[in-house]
Amino acid sequence: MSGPVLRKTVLKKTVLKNPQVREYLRMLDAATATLPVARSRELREQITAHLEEALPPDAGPGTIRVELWKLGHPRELAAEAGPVPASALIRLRNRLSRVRWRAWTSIGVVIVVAATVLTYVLLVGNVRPLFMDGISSWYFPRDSALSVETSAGTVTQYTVPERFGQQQGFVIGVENNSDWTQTIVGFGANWPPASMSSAEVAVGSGPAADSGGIDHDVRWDLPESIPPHSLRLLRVLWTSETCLGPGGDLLISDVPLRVRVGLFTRTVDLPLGITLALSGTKASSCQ
Amino acid sequence: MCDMGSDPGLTELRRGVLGPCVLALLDDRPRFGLELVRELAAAGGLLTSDGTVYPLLNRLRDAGLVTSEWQDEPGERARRYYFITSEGREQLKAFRADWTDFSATVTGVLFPGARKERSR
Repeated sequence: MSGPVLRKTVLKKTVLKNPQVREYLRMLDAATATLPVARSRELREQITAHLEEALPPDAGPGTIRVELWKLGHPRELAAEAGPVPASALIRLRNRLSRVRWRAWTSIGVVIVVAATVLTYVLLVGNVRPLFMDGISSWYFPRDSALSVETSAGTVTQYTVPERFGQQQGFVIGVENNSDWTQTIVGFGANWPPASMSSAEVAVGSGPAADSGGIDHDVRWDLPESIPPHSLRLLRVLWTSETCLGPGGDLLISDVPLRVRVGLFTRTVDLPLGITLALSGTKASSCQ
Repeated sequence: MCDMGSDPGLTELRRGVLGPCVLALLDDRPRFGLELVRELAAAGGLLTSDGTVYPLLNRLRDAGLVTSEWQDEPGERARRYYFITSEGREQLKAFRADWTDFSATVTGVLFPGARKERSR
């Protein structure tokens, strides 16, 4: 015997639009949700055909209530239509098989998008951070001339006198050893220290800068991108505004930077590997 | 339809005889769903509720005893008609024979006086 043939209702004016009837059919759908789809759809089609036949489109609430009562409670009909599958897995499968293809497509799209976003976030999050490449020097020749190198254990310190009220700074090599372009957009939080004003960070570009050198053609910009597997110079300038006094010093061993990778910007603490120090001078130098 | 009470025993009895009753109606001529329901309801006491006829029809169809098809009559609403199959007719015939004997036996047990009176 061939299976049931379902038909769509094409009548425009129908009692099926009545709220009481719709609620009854909704309860019927819920009651038959664990049955095989074909069986529950067939029963629904039979019940809707019955109601359309039994009730005029403009049937009153009382007439509809009586007819629905005569039909029986949806749970009773569902029980007659077949036993609830004992296996939770089959019940779940029956429920899921009612989900229309549009819903499955939407779910699929959401999963793909979420997976793509998650993969992207994980990839960006695991991008190897910028690191100092060993090049380092005081930016102004006057400081370089007065720089004193001292070592204690594995730490090397380069100390210059603080030049109160004047611009000082340093240049370091920064390498991007990842497969992503990384763009330096500024200092990270809590930098520069309060003793420095007008601090600025910039990335050098130009033929000499791209190979780690400095000449008059180097252009300093921010934000500036460092392509994958490339070296660039990073310049940090500030105006020293704390009169450190004799014996006082200001140590710089790392520079926090805001670095954009893809769509995300993160703070990267860039260790210098050395310590740059400003030392105090006699008070008269602070005037 | 709850005109016959909700005694579980009667419900089971109704459930047992409803299938053959549906087959008997369809043996007379094909009928659509509401038509069947109305006639069974009019017979009195056969239905616990109108809606349960439809799961029954589906079970009969699964068992190969009835078949159904949609029919579009001009000026009429499209209706799904149910037909008895040859297998359904065979089963109905067998049930009718069994029922005659069975109902006589049950009547005899339930009403012994009536049986003695009849035999006199």
